Amino acid sequence: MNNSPAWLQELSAWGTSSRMLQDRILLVTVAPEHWAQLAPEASVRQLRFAGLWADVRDEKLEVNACLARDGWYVLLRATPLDGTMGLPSWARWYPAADRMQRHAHDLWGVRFGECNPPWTRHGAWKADEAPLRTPVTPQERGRDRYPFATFSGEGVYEIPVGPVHAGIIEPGHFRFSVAGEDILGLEERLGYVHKGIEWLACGRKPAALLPLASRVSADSTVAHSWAAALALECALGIAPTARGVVLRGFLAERERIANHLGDVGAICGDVGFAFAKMQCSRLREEWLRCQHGIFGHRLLMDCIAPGGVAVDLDAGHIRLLRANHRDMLQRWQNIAPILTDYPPLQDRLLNTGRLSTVAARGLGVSGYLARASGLSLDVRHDRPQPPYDRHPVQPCLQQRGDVAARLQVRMAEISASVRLLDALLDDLPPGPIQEPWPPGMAAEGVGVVEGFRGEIVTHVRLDDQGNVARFFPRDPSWFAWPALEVLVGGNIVADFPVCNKSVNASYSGCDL
Amino acid sequence: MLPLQILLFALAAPLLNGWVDMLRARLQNRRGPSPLQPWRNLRRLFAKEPVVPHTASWLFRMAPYVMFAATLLASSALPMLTVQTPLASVTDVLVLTGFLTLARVALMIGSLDPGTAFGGLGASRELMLSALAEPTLLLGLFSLAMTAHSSNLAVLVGHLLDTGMMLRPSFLFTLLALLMVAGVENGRLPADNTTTHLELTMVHEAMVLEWSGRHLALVEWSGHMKLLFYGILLADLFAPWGLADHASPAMLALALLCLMGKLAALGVVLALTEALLPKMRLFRAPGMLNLAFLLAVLGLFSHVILEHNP
Amino acid sequence: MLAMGLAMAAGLSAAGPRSWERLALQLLGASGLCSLAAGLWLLLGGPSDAVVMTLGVIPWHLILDPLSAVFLLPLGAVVSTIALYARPYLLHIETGFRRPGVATGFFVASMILVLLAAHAFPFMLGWEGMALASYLLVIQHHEESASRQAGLIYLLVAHMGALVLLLAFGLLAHGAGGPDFAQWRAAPASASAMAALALACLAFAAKAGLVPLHVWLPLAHPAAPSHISALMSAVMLKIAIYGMVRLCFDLVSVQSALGLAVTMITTGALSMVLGVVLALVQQDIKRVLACSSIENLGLVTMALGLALLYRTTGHAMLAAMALGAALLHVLNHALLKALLFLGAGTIQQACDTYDLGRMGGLLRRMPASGGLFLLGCLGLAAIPPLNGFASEWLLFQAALQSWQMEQGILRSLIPLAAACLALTTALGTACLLRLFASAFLGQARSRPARRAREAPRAMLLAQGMLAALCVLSGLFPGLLLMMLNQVTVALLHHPAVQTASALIITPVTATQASYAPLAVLAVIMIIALCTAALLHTRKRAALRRVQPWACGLGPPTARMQITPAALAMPLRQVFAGLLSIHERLGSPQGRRYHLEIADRTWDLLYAPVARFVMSLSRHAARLQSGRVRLYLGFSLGTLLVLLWVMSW
Repeated sequence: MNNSPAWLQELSAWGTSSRMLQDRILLVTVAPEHWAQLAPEASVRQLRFAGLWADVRDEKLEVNACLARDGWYVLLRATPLDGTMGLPSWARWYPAADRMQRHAHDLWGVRFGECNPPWTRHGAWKADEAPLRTPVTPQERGRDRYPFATFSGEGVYEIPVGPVHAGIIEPGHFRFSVAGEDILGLEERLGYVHKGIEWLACGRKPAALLPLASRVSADSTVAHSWAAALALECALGIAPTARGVVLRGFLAERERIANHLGDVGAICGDVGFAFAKMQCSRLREEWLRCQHGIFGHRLLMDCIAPGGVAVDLDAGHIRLLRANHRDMLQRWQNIAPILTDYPPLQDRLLNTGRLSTVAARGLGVSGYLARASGLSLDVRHDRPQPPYDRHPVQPCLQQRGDVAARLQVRMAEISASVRLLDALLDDLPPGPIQEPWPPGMAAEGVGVVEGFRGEIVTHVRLDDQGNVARFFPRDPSWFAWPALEVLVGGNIVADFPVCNKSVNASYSGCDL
Repeated sequence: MLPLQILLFALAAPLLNGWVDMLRARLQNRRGPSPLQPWRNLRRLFAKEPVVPHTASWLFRMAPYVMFAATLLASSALPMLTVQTPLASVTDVLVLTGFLTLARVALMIGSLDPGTAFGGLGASRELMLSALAEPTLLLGLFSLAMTAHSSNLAVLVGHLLDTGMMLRPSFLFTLLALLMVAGVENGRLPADNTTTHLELTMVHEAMVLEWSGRHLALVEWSGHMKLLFYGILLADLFAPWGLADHASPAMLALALLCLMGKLAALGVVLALTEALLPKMRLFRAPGMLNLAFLLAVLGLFSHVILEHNP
Repeated sequence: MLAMGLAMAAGLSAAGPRSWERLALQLLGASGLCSLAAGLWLLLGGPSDAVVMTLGVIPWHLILDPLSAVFLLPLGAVVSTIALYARPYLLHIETGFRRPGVATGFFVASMILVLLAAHAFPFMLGWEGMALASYLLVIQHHEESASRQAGLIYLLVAHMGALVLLLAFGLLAHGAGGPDFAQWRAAPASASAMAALALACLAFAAKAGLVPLHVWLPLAHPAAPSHISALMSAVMLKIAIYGMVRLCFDLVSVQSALGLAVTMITTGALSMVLGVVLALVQQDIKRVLACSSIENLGLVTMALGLALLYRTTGHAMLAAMALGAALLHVLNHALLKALLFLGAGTIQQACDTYDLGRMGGLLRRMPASGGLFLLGCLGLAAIPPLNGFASEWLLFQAALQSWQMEQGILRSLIPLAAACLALTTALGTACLLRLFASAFLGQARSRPARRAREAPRAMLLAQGMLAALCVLSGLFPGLLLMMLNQVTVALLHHPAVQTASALIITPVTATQASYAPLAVLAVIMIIALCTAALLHTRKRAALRRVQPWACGLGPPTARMQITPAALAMPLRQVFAGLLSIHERLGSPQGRRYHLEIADRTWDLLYAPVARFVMSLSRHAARLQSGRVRLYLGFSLGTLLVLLWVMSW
């Protein structure tokens, strides 16, 4: 606490008690009547909103909000008064909090402010029921009337897109209000792939939590399971083995490259540039096949284990991987200049879907979305946990905030990550890959990892038997979706798909 | 003779599209479908039960037939293998463009009829593109007709065949303009993308979303025929060599070979363009069409001022 | 016989006030039929008829020649059909028939008078009567300020035009030595005649609504009841064309009208393009039609300009072709526009609005009206084999023959004209498609549109008659051209097309171009029917009705379909330079979208003039200080100036 920044001390002064959960992660318990003031207080101190979720401990409902700045994380915890079951809404200061509050309301029954429109519920249970606190009576899903924001005026009409899309993508509904081609407003409606992850996690053994965490969003399976593992390890106070940590970083970087390759191809494909799409698809496919050969799974699912990793590399593997990296780098360096120097493509991407630095900061986005808009946010840089403490990462920054900038950031990260992979292999220490798991106890922890989309914050609480009592993985998509609504404004309808691809938020990641 | 040409044209039309699809796939390092794939698609669609929205009127069901017949009529008036065509005495190039317009109007009416968002979106874009492409086509044909002093297709093509290919500025301008128009009218890159699944970016494809079964088959078939129509039109006007001037079997066979060669070459050009270019912004497309229109006007100007030969 | 046409109309104006509605309408219809019969009789070979009456001091020289007969045809057809249409239509208008009835009769009679006049006095009388009667019809809904304003602007333009025309006629009468048309015809070419011609053409251009004198037209036509709009748009505007043809090709013998021809071509081209762009963005169904009239009148003017150009350069045969195209388009446009205006009236009755944004889905509620309206739209959009296409085709053919002209500079006008024509044709198609789709396709956008009912039979019959005429003249343009040949032979000594039979038209020779709409239609029908027959065999005729696709969110609502404004938006964006477009988002919560589209001519041309006049009057107002001494001073000054003038 002594070397903590001034803003942190000011903020923790609001709390009734505070304690360090982990290095630079502070838990502050606050009184419910202070909840409303905390948002503006945090906002003026330029704290980024990083998540909000409810929990029930000792029969008491409590709400956790996570705020972050400069690699520090503050967990604010308040218990709503019994009579009201509610807290003031933070949406005015942190717009991105709105949907997380509605999610918490639908599942835990905690009310935020006056108006709590449905988000996850989709008419599957009654508005006053909370499936994660009390059993509910399932009801027939009627045609629920979701209150979309409507625009009026001559010539305005609505374009409904989804939840069933023409391509192979996840379900989600987009409602455009347009005047001809110009988008006046976009509203998303998600929740079609609500899987009940939070409920499924309850009562699991810690080791059984990781397979579930791997499946929160399959494209970030490594990052999510790493974050869950970190949270568990933080709760129980153990450290993963040295070899395990490097291998985790290795897997995470491979995942980043695979996804970035897919995104780069998809962005080009959406503007009809089939050449780049095909080349990137091919690179990604070869990359995934290599992963399947060595780690047993194309997407590296279930490779992370508590206390380390579940897979190990021998000398043969390492040789194969080095060849793979060399190959990849060489081919990538053939393709990348074409994408950056081809005027017809750049003409399409420049100034499309701009997210200004101010808007990006206000929405609390992270990952490439933030870095393309000039915000230097990268967990690997801001919180250099092993193995990034020995292999420092410089965030790849762009200022324009348009689709082209997001493409640039991804392309730069692909090259940087391939080099990082080689460095990690050079540095791979010998030793065991897993730490033995200690007996369970009541504890809680938070894990923060930079996935390919951005910062993942996972909170895990264990009960007295050491079983999981609460698991909340906060995917970066919670912030990317609102950012998409903002950045398409003023664009034309025909440019939406490429804007959407450049954001590439996960449906599954927030439809828990 | 007329039914024969109509039949031949209709049957051959899907092959050109199949050829272009295959070439494009090869250019993208894919194996790609067989050139017969459009045929298989049509057969599959014809076998399917058509589904019609509740909100659609009789126009929705009639539109594919009108579109099909109008496109086929326009195509059958073109000199395909012989210079003489059966319909040359009752239509001319200007009437042809009129029938292409009829086909397009039928398509747009059909797409607007069910009152869905995508149909309207596609129609509004098509309205913009076609309103700029159509005058270019008309003007290009008009300036070629000026050189031959005739808009009768047989006479026009005969004249071009007789005078030989002189490198005239008007021809060059017109060729460029018509090439751009042909690309846009067939929903090709960079103005539209035939292969996309993204409804919000579609032009032509968004309009046909509500049709199914035999209706969709007719619409798709009309699309194939339109591509072949433009192929043959360009071949007739800018490379008329090999056309038979009387209908002897040997001449016809030679003409068929020549035509196939020319269309194959045109397919290569189209596939290359599509492989190389990304789709342009929607509101850049009018710029391209304005350029095409300007080129057509320039072609006409350079004809009346530089190449005047009464 | 021709007196009968007049008498009927005149009798009608007397009958009107006594609320003998049925009789009045029958009289109106009869006058229309008479005009039609007279026109046909003459064109099918009857002798021309001349009447000279003297009523007071005015000599009523009236004559029916082929040119008047050609213009009598659409007049007759439209007047007789609106007589049929008006009764059920007017039942729904509170004012009833009385007030418009008098004016309508008067209006028709004046138009017939103008067409038949062979003397400057009856011509001017008819011309002014036409303007006044139509003014009364425009301010029909005088309780609305928009209506009154439209009427005021209309009256202003009409009277400025009449003044200019009077001046022109004065010049001509002075040069020829008398106001009789026969005298004018005999007069030699002179500079004053040329000036008079230019002035008269200016007046006619104002009446025809050519750019930049078009601003009254989109205001005035929609203000009148629909059948009157039909009359105004389909017939009255054509009277201006009649004036142009009569003066340019018949009365005034100017050998070198090159400047006039070029002006007509450019004005026509401008009107075409601006008219169609304006029509594309209108939200009011009758304004769309009115703006489309600007476009079509521009086309006719351009054709006339082309004819004049050909005549001036000594190609009388080509001039005849262009004139034939112009006259054919006059006939076709009159029929089509009348059909569409009557259709607009029908829609208005069903939906209680002229706003396209409150219609939609009417085709399923009103199939017959929808079919007829579609026919009109397709015809006006120049879709073969309907009639609008025939006249545009002929105009293209006339332009195609421009290689016969020797002067390169004049020849280079042709590409410009052809480019504008091509652009206008395409934009016209877009505009009419939007019109039809917004009103009849999709889902209903308002409650009245959801409950719309099919129109009464008489209204449908009236439209059906016009539609039948459109189809016939589209399929057999040769028959019309055979009649028009008489006009061109009379005026230019050449037929409009060399070969015109019922089935095929060949403007010059068969190797240059020919067009046989019926044969083409037959082929297209055979293909379509064969395809349909092939596909409907076996058990495949069945089809399944489903909800339209809304991406899995249930059936789409009426809000989820494109709006008329949105349908035109991409195209509007392309032509944004010609329009002044203001878009903004306003309260509440920035969720109300405002869109204003206006004609830039107001800003660019009329507003500066208005500002100038206003500032002038402000300066003038300084004189009015209200001090008696100053006024005395003014009087003294005036007196002195007058004395000086007198003495000088």
